[in-house]
Amino acid sequence: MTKKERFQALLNQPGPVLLDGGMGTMLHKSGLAAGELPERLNLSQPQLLTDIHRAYMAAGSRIVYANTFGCNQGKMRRYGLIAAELVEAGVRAAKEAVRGTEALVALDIGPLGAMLAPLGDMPFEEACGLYAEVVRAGRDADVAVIETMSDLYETKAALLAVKENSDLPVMVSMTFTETGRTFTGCTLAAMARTLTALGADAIGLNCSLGPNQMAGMIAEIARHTHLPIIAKPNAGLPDPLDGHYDLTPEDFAAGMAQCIRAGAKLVGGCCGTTPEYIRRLASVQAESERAPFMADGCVCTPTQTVMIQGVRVIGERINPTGKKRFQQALLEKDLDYIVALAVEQSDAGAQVLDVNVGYPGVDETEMLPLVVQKIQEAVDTPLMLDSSNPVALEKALRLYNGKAVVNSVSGEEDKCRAILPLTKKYGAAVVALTLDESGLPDTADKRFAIAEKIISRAEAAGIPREDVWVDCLTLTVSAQQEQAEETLRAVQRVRRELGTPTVLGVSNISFGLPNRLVLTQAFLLRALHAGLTLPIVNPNQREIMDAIVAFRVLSGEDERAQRYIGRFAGQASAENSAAMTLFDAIVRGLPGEAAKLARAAIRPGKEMALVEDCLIPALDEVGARYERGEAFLPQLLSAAQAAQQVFTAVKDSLALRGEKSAPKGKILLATVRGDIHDIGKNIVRTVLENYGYEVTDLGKDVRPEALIQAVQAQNIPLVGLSALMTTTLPAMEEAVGRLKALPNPPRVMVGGAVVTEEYARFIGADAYAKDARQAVEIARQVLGG
Amino acid sequence: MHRIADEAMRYLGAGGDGASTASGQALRAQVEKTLAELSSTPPRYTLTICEVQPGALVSPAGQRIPTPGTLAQKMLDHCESAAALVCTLGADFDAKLLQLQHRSMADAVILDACGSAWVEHGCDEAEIVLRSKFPGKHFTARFSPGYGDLPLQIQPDFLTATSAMTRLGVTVNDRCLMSPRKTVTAIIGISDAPMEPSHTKNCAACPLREGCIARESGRTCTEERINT
Repeated sequence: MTKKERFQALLNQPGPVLLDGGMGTMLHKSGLAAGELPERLNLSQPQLLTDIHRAYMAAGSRIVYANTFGCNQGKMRRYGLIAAELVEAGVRAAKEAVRGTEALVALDIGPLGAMLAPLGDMPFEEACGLYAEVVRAGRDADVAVIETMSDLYETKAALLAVKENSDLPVMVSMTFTETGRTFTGCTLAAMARTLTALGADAIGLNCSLGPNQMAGMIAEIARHTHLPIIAKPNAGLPDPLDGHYDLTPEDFAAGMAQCIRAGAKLVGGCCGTTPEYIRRLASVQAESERAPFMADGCVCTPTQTVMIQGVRVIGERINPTGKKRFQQALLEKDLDYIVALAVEQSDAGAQVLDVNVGYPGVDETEMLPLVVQKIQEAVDTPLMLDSSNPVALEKALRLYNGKAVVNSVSGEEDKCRAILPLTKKYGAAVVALTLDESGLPDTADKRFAIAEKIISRAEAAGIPREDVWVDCLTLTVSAQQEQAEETLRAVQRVRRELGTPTVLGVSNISFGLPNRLVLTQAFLLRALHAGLTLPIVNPNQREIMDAIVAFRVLSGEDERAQRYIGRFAGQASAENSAAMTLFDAIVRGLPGEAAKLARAAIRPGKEMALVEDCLIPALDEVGARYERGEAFLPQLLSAAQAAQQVFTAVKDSLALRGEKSAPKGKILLATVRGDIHDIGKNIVRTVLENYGYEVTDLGKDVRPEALIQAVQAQNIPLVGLSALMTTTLPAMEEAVGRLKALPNPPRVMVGGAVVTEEYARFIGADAYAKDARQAVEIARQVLGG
Repeated sequence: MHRIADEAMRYLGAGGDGASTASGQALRAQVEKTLAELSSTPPRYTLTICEVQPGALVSPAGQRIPTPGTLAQKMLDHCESAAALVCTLGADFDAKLLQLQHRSMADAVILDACGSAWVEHGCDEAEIVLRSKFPGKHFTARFSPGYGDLPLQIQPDFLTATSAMTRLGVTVNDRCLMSPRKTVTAIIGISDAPMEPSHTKNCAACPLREGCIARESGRTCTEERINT
């Protein structure tokens, strides 16, 4: 029997499967471990661990967790210990305990104790690497368990590591607070949907809560997975002062009965529980009343789950086709422009964002993962990864946080072979284009047949049918008028007979005809009526979103028309801007007004005059008020944001003629190595950019090598460095030293909470910027403007 | 909430006279709105009562938090025990702040300041609970790693001894910076005997009081302990 089969056989037995209880509690009770690192015992006192495992087995545990929870090199490095040795020894001690019995040993994998980027500084792949080490060292175990996780992203890294480095079945449990979210904000639905799709063998909850708080959450998880559910709560809630848990073994067992009724199959205890708790748990008589699984399509991020129940809007704007400004942004790696499109569409009501960065001269394998990460920093809307390049798709799918959708596979054999395994491995949904080697079929029935074929191929690859979103393909009505009906008929058949979600790029319909919006809207409504669930549209077009909002009322999806009313009831008359000048709009920090006024004021060929004559004086006015204490940092920044709108209008106007703006000069900004807090640096950047400087922002936790490379590659005359804590000041000193040692050194300005003028001088910086305003003055001195 | 808003205004450089200007009042309205939104997610904290030993605090599980330097020595001089406090707004606050930076830097700066004031308020709440659990005892002011001569380097041990990783999701990187960013670690000494004023006010016992930037600007580091 393989390990997976043994695990499955255990699960196939009727009734709950008993896990063990707390390890820390037992070590503490043994009195031997006070103050000692528990992981060290794997080598120093394996017998003690074997005895604890045996005590749990005697109480009824069928799976015991090896004492390897904290054994990863990220944590053990600090103590000069080698994680792999501790893992091997921990698994060995547990194996010794189960020898001659049917019980299984779980390789216990806990959090790394570091926050992953972008919130922390550990790159995703580094986390994968650290977990891979643990898994390889613990392969002798019978099952892997990833537990006490609060970050879905880190959990994904651990789960991929188990699957890529072993054949172990894998259980995953995360730790939730009583709010129904983890410390990082992850929801139960997102957890269940993501981990199920990634191929976990059982999922659930452990630690943080007692069984009474957990039962309702188990019921919620049941709606989002078909997998066996784990419940391993603490012995109640801890006293805030002495850390003692408030449930007796009897009370714990009574609470666990609720968890079992809610659908928990694998049950045990976490902090504060002992063999006595497990013994009581073994005698619980409770029948599962598990709620049915909602087998609907789904995509998600940790904080946003989109169930495909009714119409869901996919935003189409992140795509360079036919958009000069977007193409320019891609070539210049102007990620902010792309991120702004993501923010704008999410605000306009897009529930999924299509992300396509394919353009001649752009390396998609580099750009797609980069853009995906950047967008995920800015919005929590799930993403549709749109590329024909499998390498780019794999890189982006790996780094995506949550459950994504791939756009697309088709009926072509080589597409199926390349895309379906990727979709499965990374737990995504996939768009199925109804075309194949012989091209795009001209009848609805042929498209339907291809859809059927792709779905069966997907199911064979382990992808459930609700995760295949069928695209019956919109053709341009001006070229192939009869095809509009065929598309609609195909949508109708797919929805009725196959039941999968359906997707259409709606705006294609009107290409080449005047007043496109009318035609697009008419087609959209017909397609929705035919059963289209996922229209790909421009959500910034009010008429399009209006049609969707209206359709949802008519279809009954928008109960009591609440969302419809919400959209239209609050439509007050827009603020009267007749009397306002552009100068006022900037000074008062009104981006919407500034955008309107700038577009009206701009003269093609004389764009920069608007910047020099209006924008800079307005910013100077706000700057002067700031220095006099009559305006404050947020107001300085609001003005900068309004100014940004003017620059956008200028860039758009220039791009129309294929020109670019001539920036005043280049500035490189970065937060030094080890420093992960960068809001101060971001403030400086916002202000500098809106004075017309071209800022390259290397972000936070930046190594000196990266600074030097950027300075040399782009010939940058001014560098701004920020450091926040005393512990990162040496990194600032090193960076300044290395920059000043260059043959043609740039000027360097420094700032940050702990930096002083004296310190700046001491480390050889050219200038100290106490705030963003002063950074502008320094830039003016060095670069002019 | 009024006092928390005052605090946030100060972080925004709009305390004192600035608050009464037209801009200050407009800003105050935004600060109050932001704080109202934050109030649905109270800061989470954990208090671990430790034994005071020479050069270290020792948790009930036997884990040590080193307390090198004269600040800790002076503050804990007459204390039998001390509370190790960890208080945090959580990583979802960081995510919100990051998102907001892509929408409006101005709003992000306001949220940042309100977050600092809010976590500080969480510490105050924790201290009220602590005092209520030890009636008749006397307490030092809160003091934190990274200030005075109590080094940031004790953060990893501090977080281990308080189980802050599993209880609150707090992590620390190799430069001893904590994540989530709005996280405070602090020590509060507990004693049977009344405290001297120098132990209940931070600056008096601080060996770095001369030349301290915070003091020069009329603030104390109890007000600036936050990790931002």
